[in-house]
Amino acid sequence: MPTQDRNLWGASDAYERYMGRWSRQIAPIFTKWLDLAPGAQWLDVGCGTGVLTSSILASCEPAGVLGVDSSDAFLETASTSLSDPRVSFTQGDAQALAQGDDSFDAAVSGLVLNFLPDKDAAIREMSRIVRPGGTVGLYVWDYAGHMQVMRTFFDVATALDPGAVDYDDGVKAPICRSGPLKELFERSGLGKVAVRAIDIPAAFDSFDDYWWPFLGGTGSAPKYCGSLDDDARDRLSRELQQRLPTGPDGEILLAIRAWAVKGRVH
Amino acid sequence: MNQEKPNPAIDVKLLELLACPLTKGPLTWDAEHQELVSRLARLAYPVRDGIPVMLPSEARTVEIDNEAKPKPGSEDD
Repeated sequence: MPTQDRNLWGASDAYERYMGRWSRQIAPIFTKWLDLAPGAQWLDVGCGTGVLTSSILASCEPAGVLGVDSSDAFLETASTSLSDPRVSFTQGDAQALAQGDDSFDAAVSGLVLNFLPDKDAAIREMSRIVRPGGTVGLYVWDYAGHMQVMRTFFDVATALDPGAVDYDDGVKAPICRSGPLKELFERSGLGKVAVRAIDIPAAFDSFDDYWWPFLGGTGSAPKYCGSLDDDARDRLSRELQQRLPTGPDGEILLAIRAWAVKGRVH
Repeated sequence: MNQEKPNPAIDVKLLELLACPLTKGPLTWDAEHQELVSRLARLAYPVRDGIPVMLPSEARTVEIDNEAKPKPGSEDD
């Protein structure tokens, strides 16, 4: 289905197959949990290809959604694919938002937090632009635990090459656990902070369906794949194929967990 | 689908949702240069394909007093 110019759509298409397709299943569960009244003004921080924004448009009856991302390639995909009059996009930095104080009902973010150097600044900024009584919320993968798509990848990669640990978000992103997420929100002055797990099944048609996105997507595992020479990458691919639980028709069924956190602005 | 936007001018509703990322102060729309101007930061943020680029690294430094007539012999020369 994503066919146009491969060069133009390359990064976004690869992201969509790598993580976008799973995030699309997490997003509606997340927004339902936030439980905002219709007519709210939303800010989606690190909107990427528009996964969370499209879920808000489809299920939350927003007055408006503003998507912010630092990548112009992702924004081009998002703005081209979402032509809803309630949505607009801005290029910007999550740690220095270009929005006025108290100007939104909710600031949300999907799969972004662990990529930001200053996480406290990002949460402070999201809290600043939301009016009192409004909601700040986000979700990240449970890299260290039940995000089996990546967990299996790095367990196998690290067994073959101890250097792979430098890319493993399960190790590099200790923020992506329930305790640290709650602390981060509370430290930023948010009230009624709650954390929950969101679990979904990830079904791959074949090993190639699992493996291909690692060769082109955005994120730590694709970056590690790109750092390997052909032989090392083939070895990793063979080991993974052995290790992944594969059904009679070649299908692979894994579990995916995201941690979601929300808090109320005072 | 294929309707062209002859002028990618900024949507008023969007402008209301934007502030300078450095000062958090208001922005004014410079239609001539297609830029969002932060008077406090003396920066002009570009708008590309209708998308405001709110990154100081992409902004242009601007003279804010350009509406007023330059006074001869003023201090800033």
